Amino acid sequence: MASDELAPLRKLVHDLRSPLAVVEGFATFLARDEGKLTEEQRRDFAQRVASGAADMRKLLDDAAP
Amino acid sequence: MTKLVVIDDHEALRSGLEVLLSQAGLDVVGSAGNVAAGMDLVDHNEPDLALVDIRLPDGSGIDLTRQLLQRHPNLAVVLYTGDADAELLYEGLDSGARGYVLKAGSMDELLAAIHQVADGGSYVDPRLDRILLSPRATSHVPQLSPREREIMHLMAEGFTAEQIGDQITVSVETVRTHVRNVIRKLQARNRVHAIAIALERGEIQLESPSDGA
Repeated sequence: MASDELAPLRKLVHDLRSPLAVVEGFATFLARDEGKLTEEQRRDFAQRVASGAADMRKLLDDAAP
Repeated sequence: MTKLVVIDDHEALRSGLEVLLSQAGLDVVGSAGNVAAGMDLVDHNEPDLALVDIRLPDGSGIDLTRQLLQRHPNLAVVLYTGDADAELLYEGLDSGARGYVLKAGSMDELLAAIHQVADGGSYVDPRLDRILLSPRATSHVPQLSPREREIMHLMAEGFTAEQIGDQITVSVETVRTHVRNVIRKLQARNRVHAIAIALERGEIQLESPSDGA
């Protein structure tokens, strides 16, 4: 059935949303920072962006045909 | 300051939300990754608002919402989900959640939703308008009372709250209370959205220009 064929794609789209929200949220926050963040916070937030991107890469690699 | 908890099974997102929402001035008092821990968290912290993921490892965030609202009727719940699925939306709206936010949206949209719900309003992600205005969705929401229908009809005709109050001989505050109740009942995002839903459901009808001619 067509809907079953789309199920893996729907799951992938769903699973990508959470890490994407992390990447988007922290990247936007970093981009808007006007020097108020400490060096430690900047590093932590940049690390979260990198981890989110790595999570997304893994999801895509696992789903790749 | 709004006191809130985050219930989401994605660890990085959960901890990210704690940081980002705190940076945005909200008082994040805790977070949990499943239904059981979420229930415990709310029981012990009595937050104003719970941000709840729909898909949790030990159950549904929608069922959790129902249980939380039974125990904490004043709690505001915002459902936060990666699914733009019609069935989940209907169920979510029926559960008593006052906000329905998609993870496809930006952090700014999530913050706007949290503030709107914390201020006593409701919020549904605008990406869901097409589903919300479908006859199926609009048949799921509770019926309006005759007084609410009368007020929404006058509002749809362009009358202000003051003018409506004068016309039906109630105070402007009473009119506003009815409108707030209608917005909540219809799970609308604002007055205009409530009017659109009421028209779609046939709760109210606009007089055509020829009616008055």
